[in-house]
Amino acid sequence: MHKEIMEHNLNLNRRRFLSKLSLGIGSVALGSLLIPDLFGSKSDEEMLLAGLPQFAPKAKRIIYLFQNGAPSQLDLFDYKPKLIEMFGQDLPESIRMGQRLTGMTADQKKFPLAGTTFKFNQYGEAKAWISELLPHTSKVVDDLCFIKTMHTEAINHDPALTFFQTGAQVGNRPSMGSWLSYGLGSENKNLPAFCVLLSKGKGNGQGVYSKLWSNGFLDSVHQGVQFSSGDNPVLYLNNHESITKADRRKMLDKLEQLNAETFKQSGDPEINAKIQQYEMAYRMQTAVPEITDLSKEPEDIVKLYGPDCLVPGTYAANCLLARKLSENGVRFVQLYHQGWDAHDSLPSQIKGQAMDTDQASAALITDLKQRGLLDETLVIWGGEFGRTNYCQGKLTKDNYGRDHHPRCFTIWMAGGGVKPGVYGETDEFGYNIIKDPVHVNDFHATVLHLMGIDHEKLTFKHLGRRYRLTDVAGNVVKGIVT
Amino acid sequence: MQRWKTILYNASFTFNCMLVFLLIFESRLSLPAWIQTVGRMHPLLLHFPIVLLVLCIFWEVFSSLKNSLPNQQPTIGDTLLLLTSFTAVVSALMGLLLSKEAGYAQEVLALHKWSGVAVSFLSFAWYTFRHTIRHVKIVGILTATAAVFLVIVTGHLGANITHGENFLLAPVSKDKQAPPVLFEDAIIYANMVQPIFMAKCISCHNDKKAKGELVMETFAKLLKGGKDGALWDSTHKDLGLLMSRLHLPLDNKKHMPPTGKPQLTEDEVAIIYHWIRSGASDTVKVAQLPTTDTLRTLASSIFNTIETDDYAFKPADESKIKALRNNYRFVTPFALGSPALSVEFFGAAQFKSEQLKELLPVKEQVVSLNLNKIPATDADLATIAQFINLRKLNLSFTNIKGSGLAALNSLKELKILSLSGTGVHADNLTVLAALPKLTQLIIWSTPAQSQQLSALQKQFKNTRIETGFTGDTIIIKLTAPIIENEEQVVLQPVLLILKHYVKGVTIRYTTDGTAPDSLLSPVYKGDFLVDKNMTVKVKAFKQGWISSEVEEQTFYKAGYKIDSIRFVQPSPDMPYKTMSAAILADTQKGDQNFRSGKWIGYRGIPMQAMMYFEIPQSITSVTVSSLIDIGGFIMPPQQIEVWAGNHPAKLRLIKKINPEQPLKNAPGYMKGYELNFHTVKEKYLKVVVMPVAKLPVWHKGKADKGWIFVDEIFLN
Repeated sequence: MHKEIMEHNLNLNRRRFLSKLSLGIGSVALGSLLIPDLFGSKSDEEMLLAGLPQFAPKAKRIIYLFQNGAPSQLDLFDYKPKLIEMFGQDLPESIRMGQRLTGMTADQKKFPLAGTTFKFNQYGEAKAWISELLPHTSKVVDDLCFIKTMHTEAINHDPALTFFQTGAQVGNRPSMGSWLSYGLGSENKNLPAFCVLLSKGKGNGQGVYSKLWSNGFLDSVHQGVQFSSGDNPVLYLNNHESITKADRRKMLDKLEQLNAETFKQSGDPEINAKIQQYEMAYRMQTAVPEITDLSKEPEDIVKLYGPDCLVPGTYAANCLLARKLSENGVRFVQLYHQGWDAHDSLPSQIKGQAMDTDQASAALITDLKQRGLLDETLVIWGGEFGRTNYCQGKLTKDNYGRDHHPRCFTIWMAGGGVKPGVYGETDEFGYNIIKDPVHVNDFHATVLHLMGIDHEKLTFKHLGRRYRLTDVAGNVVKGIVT
Repeated sequence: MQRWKTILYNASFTFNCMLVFLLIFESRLSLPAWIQTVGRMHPLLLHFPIVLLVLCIFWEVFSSLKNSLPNQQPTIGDTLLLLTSFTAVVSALMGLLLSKEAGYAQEVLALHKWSGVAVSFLSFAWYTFRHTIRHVKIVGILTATAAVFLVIVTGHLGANITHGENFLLAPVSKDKQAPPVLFEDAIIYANMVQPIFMAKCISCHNDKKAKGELVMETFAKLLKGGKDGALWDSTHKDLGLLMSRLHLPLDNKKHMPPTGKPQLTEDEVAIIYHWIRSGASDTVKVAQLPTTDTLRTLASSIFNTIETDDYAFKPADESKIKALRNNYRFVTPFALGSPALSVEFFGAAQFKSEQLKELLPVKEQVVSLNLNKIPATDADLATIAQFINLRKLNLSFTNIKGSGLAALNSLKELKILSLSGTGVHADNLTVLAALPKLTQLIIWSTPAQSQQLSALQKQFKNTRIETGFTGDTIIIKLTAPIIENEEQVVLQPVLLILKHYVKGVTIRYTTDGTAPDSLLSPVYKGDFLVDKNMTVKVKAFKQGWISSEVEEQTFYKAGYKIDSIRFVQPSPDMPYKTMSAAILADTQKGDQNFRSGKWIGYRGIPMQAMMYFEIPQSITSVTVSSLIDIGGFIMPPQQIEVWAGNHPAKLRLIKKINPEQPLKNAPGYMKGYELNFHTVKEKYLKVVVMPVAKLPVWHKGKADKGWIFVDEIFLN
């Protein structure tokens, strides 16, 4: 009897347990109907592994024409007749508002306003102001989106440049190109996803360092690959003289067998990654010389970019090379052109800089367009900050210098998903922003958005927290997106 | 407890009586301000009677159904009924007071009012006759049914008044799922302005609840305006009432929408502003505006253009996509979850037509195909024609000649077609005019580029034909040739090596110091030898280009090796004081930087270099290579002398020159001074270079001592 009662009680408990459990599970199941991606959904990091945009991208590739040293927006794009009118007068304190200056002009007793000595005209449907220094750019205005209200937090070159490239002023974070390589992978498996090209103008230069195209804490496959001018564009890529292509193939095959053996033992996925990288380098041995050979470019192209484009190492040659890399599926081509840091003799320095860059920058837009590639390529032109409206050093009628100015400067973008026109407004002194500011973080968020990535979702877990290019800030600038 | 019940019951009774009274004299009601506040608490209280009444119904129905189990706790049902009755009557009273405020549509309001009153009366009656009702089952059921019906009707009508009509069903009703308006079809009023009113204004300005007597539901009613008159006046400075209300500061009582309600964004205000300014039409389409119009720019961020698509086809199998992807063919969905595929081919050498055919299993899904620089031919177009959902097709620099283009007519969705760099002629293109959605056709660098373009453009009504850049009419300047000889000092005769990156240029050169001439100067053929001191000037020429700048290089011939060289007297100035004279015989030329360590400088005293030869050589000339930088006080030497002899103490003067002195400032340059004389064959040779003792009067350092800088001495 006792046994039956116990059994009954046990049954009862089991029944109660099961019924309660079914209720509990049922309620969870019901609730889950409202969370469609609760089951079978992937975490952000897993989604990233798919190497796909999170939503339909407007652009597939980026060419970033970085004007290193900070071009003067006041002599190129941001036309301020007030400065010409008040030439030589002191910058009103009501405008400067005691804002930070660099060590180079902080001791200056006076801040005489220096209006530009160059003539400006309006161009295109947007009636964008462009100075006479950029005759070629003014012809492609209808494809350009000018952001007149970029602003940054850094006031010196290195932190500002690092901030633009990596989203942080200190080093060691992954560069923009690395983030995109990480988020979207490579289109062309025979070339790196992130390539870097350097050139130098005659103006006062500021250094660029490989930390700017570093992969930071991301996997090293996302590092930018620097293409140098000359016979050996990618260092250590060519076979040694004594090794033939067949030998190399044989060596790689043997190496792969050995690696595969080790993989069987240890199961370390890095080994497979290594095998793939060797294979890619092997394919690059054919792909790179094909691309870097500029001698087959037709004469029309030479005239379009200017004859400098055939001289290795010039900005024009790099623009042409950038187009070739981009059309071959390189996700991110980063150019740096040095020499814009005109603290003195700005009028003569900027003339040379503009001469070096204007034609090729405009040519790149035209060239992409005539190949049907502009709508899927995002081209960005800009420096790390702007230059002051007052003169650094001695101001004369036709000579002046300008110091660093992080509070407003102009950059332009073109192509994939950006709306041509002029965005934002600065005050009549060209010192502060009065409408639609765009912070560097916003710029990054927008660029990622154009590539089909939600900047808050492109993250990487490192040192116990998730990092992203925009870190904890940034909003997509809707006004420049089509 | 009983006492409280009595009080509540009595209060209910009183309030119901009051309700009847107020209803009778409703038209004469006039409300003091504090009473208005009480009325406005109606939305707060009304939820109590609703919930309580529902509870009552359940309680009564269930307890009456369970006849076998006598009602254990009749007091619970009683208490519920009493509370219902009390809260219902208070809510009804407050509602009545609130209804006196302006802005509500009378029709719906009346229904709501009467049903609300009915709820109040019913609940009171239910409580009063609860014993009778419980006894007769049918009455109980009827009462409960009536209560359910009334509470639903009253609640729904009330919600319609507060939130606007159809608030409840809007998310599932059909208008919500209407297809998105395309940019091309958008009407400014209907698709830009009206939606703002609908989202931000309509809840207070609808037919039912017209605050300020303003109804914003239709264009006609907008035109009518409200209590304060017309909404806009495009002649007025601030464009009239609507704009000024929007622009008032948020804390101003008249600011619209009122504080606490969703505010208009900056863009929305701008849309309304520009719409009114342009005349506030209800028919003008966005596409009719000029391209620079602000409204048009604002619109472009709201509406999708044709480019964004909702794809009607199903996604392809993921494994299928993966299998198609290889090192030379990149097949990928547009984005996570997108059915559309983008295909790109790389590596011209790897291409075979089969690789296109392999894509046929996903032919429906391929929306973008890039064959840029791939040797695809007209025959391959038949395969491509089967990708019926293609939107973008890039055939630039393929081997297409144009005969197969007709096949592409099956691509009804095609929007962008690039044929740049192919062999297509204008005649080949006409077959494509039938493509319904083609917006962009790119034919740069094709035979078609220059053929009857206007005739072609006529056939393509909705297609923009891009012809790209042609360099034929552009004349630009060549870059200067590059002199590749790195050594400026030649020991043996060497070939001059010139280079130019532009194909087909002619390089001409001179050695006599004049600029090369396009007709007379010799053409560089690669066989010119540099065998003596000379300045080579080169210039590039090409038909259709502006000839280049002149590039020049000076070469020095060093015919003999100097066995030993020393200074008679070291330079008095640092750092030259400690420098060895050997640098004058190391064949290393310096550049324009006098600090490079390859130059030796003297000031005040002459530089005397004594050279010694083990075996005397026949020497006919001495060249002193020097630097001149007038601004830097470095002048041409005052005098150069060459002495020779068999003993250092017994030297004779062989030659002396006095270089020309400049008469004004000039940029820095390098110059070799050549001294020629009859053959000398001695053990010792001395070169004396004297700096100017006093800088000329026009110089900024006048009367100061001049410098000389020498990097090499060459003997021939």
